[in-house]
Amino acid sequence: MVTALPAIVTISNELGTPRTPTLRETMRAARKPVVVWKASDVGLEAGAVGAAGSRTVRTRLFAPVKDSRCEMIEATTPEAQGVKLAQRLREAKVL
Amino acid sequence: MSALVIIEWVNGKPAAASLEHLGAARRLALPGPVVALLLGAGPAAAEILIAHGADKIYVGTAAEYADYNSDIWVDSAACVARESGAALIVAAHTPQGADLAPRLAFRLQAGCATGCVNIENRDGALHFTRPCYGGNVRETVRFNTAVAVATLRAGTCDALPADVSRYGEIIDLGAAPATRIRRVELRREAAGAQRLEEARAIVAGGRGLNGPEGFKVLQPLAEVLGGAMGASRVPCDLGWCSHAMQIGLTGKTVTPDLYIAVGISGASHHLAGCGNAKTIVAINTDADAAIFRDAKFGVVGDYAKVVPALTAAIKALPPLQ
Repeated sequence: MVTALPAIVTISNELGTPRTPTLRETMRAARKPVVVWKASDVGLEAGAVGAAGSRTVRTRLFAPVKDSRCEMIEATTPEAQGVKLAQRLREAKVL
Repeated sequence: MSALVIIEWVNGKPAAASLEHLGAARRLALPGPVVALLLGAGPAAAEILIAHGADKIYVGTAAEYADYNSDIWVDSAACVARESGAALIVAAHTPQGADLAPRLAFRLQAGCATGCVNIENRDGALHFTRPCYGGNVRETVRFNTAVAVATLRAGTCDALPADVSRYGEIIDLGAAPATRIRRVELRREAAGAQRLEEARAIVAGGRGLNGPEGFKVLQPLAEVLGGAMGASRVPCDLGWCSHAMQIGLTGKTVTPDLYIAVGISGASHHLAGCGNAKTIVAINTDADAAIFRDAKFGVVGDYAKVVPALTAAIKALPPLQ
């Protein structure tokens, strides 16, 4: 696809390989200035940012209950395990 | 106060997830109609959506609608959302839906929740539940905006049975809006490959396959199940298989009836993409692998021996009554 700039694109992890920084690069990065903008610096009211400015209200945070009983298929050979798994999947109406 | 469902049209029919979303929209019982937006298909195609619960369908038949385009879809969806007074807009949780939803929400000054597994209408507000923190936890959110946009995962709700006696209104959108994006090339993924998001059975391989040849062992199993092949991140990164097969936090989210994880340890990043499968089967040489905590059936053993035997045994199963 082609489009004019400015544009926002999202990329997947197929694109490029991250490079490992050398010690010198890490040292140089540590000396770079980090600019911090407050809401007022970008023309926003305090109430327009953070939790107060969010359109989203979280009402609940919970760990889903897991039905974590795993039935282990045991048999004398791996081939027999494969056959038994097929039978169990049929009995459980999965297949 | 209508609900608007953005339909995904795949290979000449609506995606199964889109029919589920029409069902979900009906069950929410908002005061207004259930509206559908169908881009890239003819009015005749709208009949199936009416049968599955849509009251009013906006159809985009212009040539520009033939394939997904961010600009055109956002403009059209925003226009239909405003015209139909939509309080809720639901899109499928697919790359297309995940592209559309945030832009549409921003355009409509709406709240946005992507990757939902449930939407509830209670205490006069819509509540959206979705996995967060890499799928380890779920959160429920609501919005203090008049409009909400959500993407809903496939297989998390049921479609209504088709009722051909239902009546619906079909509105043609006419000419497509302008776009700043032009497609210069279209390349298909491996021919005949089933969409992972739609597959009812998935056989996925991980690091434990020990090489690209492992996928050749899984292929016949996927075929006999009529399913698709997937992978965890490692084999994709190592080039054993296509990145299009990646399932997990940075890959696709799938909700098949049967998910067979072979040589996959079961990191939470992978389970974020498949944890909602109805039945997970794990085959792994490591009895302590985390995947067994989420699996319903587990086999500790060498997949290269277990999988061919499983494939042959499934082939030999008598047909269901």
